[in-house]
Amino acid sequence: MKENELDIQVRNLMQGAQESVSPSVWEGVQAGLARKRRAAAFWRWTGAVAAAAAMLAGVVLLRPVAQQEHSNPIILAESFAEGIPQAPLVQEVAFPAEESVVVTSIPARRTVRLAQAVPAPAVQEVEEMPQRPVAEEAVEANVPDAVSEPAPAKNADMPAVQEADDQALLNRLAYEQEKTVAKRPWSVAVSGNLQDKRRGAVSSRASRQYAAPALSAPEGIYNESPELSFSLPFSAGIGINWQFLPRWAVGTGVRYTNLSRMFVGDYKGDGFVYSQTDIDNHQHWLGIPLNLYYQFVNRGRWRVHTFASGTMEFLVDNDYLVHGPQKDIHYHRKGSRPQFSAGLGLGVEFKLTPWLGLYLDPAFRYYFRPDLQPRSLRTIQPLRFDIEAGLRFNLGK
Amino acid sequence: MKRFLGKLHLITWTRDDSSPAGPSLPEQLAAACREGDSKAQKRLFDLLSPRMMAVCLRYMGNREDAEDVLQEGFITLFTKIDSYQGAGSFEGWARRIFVNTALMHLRRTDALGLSDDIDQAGNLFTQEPTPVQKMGYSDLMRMISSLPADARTVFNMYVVEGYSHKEIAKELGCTEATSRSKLQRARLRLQEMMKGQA
Repeated sequence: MKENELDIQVRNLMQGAQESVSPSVWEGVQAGLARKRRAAAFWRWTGAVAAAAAMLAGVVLLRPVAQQEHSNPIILAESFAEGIPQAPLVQEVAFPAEESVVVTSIPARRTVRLAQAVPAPAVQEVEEMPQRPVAEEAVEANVPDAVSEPAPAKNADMPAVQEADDQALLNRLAYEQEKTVAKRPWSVAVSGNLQDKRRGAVSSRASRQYAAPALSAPEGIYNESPELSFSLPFSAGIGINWQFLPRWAVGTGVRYTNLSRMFVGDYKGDGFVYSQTDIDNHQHWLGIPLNLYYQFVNRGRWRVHTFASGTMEFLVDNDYLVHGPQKDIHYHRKGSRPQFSAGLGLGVEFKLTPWLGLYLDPAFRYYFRPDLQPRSLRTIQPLRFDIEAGLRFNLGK
Repeated sequence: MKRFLGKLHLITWTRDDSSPAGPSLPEQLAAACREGDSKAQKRLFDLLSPRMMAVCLRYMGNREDAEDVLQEGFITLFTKIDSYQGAGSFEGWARRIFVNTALMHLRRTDALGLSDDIDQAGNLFTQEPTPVQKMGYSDLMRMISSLPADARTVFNMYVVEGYSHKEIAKELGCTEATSRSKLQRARLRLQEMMKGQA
């Protein structure tokens, strides 16, 4: 018999052939899929719980300090304005007794302005003032039951100077605030980023309708199929910010980003070709961001700001791990042109201490001309949602 | 939301102009499987498993290993079903998964070794030789299963799946000459067995 006759006969018999399957196979498939679903859900929940625990620990560890320790006259003044019974103002303010008396009589409208003018750091500055034993002794002797009660008797003879004292206090507090801002204009931040893993449409590709690379072709990756999976994009970085105005700051730094994916493709190496094999691609990027911040809420320990950012990134290493039938091979591609991106976001910062803050900056970021870069989530979906979280250290003189 | 998007995808996909005759039943079931529909998965399993079992049996040579590969192949198929984008037939895409799964299994057990000892194939037939034309599927399957794993794999990939020697060499990490040699020896052995049976 001729060879091709044998081949034809065998092919005719084998193609379309069917065999019986025991029911245990389907049970095994269901069990396997359930295992994979559980594993995926486990890691999703673990990540979510870890992130929530980290954020919660940051807040709980630095729980709000009691008012007696803060000695923040603004908060107490607000409470007074609302008629909430409080400990006597005079007892808790480090200002001289006369000034504390003035605070108790400030009308509600002025109270609000005071709250804006005296953030916690300024209050900290106030705490550094020398103690006034005289005022404290007066407090011990005259403790009103309610905040609304008049000030100590000796100050009741000075109603005419209250407004002037008001203004003096306002000026002083505003000055203290400005001093605080100017004293710590620089800050250094360390942070990590996560981006969404949501994909857009993936281009289709015929699994076998392609030409395998010729043996004479240069070394490289060919015939990439649509990705089997993407890893969660991750960044980490360090930056420095400069607050040049009370509400404005600029910042820059260095940021590392890792993009990973797995796909099926051909690899042509030294004298051999691996066809349709699993390939892991890890891209390592270094970027230089330039950010502009505008702070529009500054109350107590909380800051809210909006920001715009531009980043230029360089691909420092593009590594392909080719899983060959007998061994794994590392293949590196040269870097490409820089990747530019721009972002807009709204962030919040919680001041753990006057010099240390915990911040969260979610933003939308758009990557320009990602088609000029090696394939990644960015090339499939240039508009991405990014969450940056970190610690900001305010540097003083 | 995922179910809505899945159904939307199914609706839009079934209007795909690249498939004038419309998507086949496996392809439609695949779209539902992307949503994680367990009934669609079971139906797709029922449709594909007999043919894929035959594929696995041809490569593995025994039913036990073939069922292991079949199970692993279906888990891979359902897990990576998102990567099927409609280019080419779904069954062809699925067959590729099972062939790759079988090859991985053979590599894992080091069955694709350097054995050239094709004579180790047992002679199961002591009857009068019968012409190939009279040979049935089950007899032929028995003969193919009796070949050594490396020769059987090359024979299956070349004769049944349609791989070229170059592609076989890439896949198995050998040279084209080795692929041709193993194929030739597999053919000779099969012809001997057929003559022996005839």
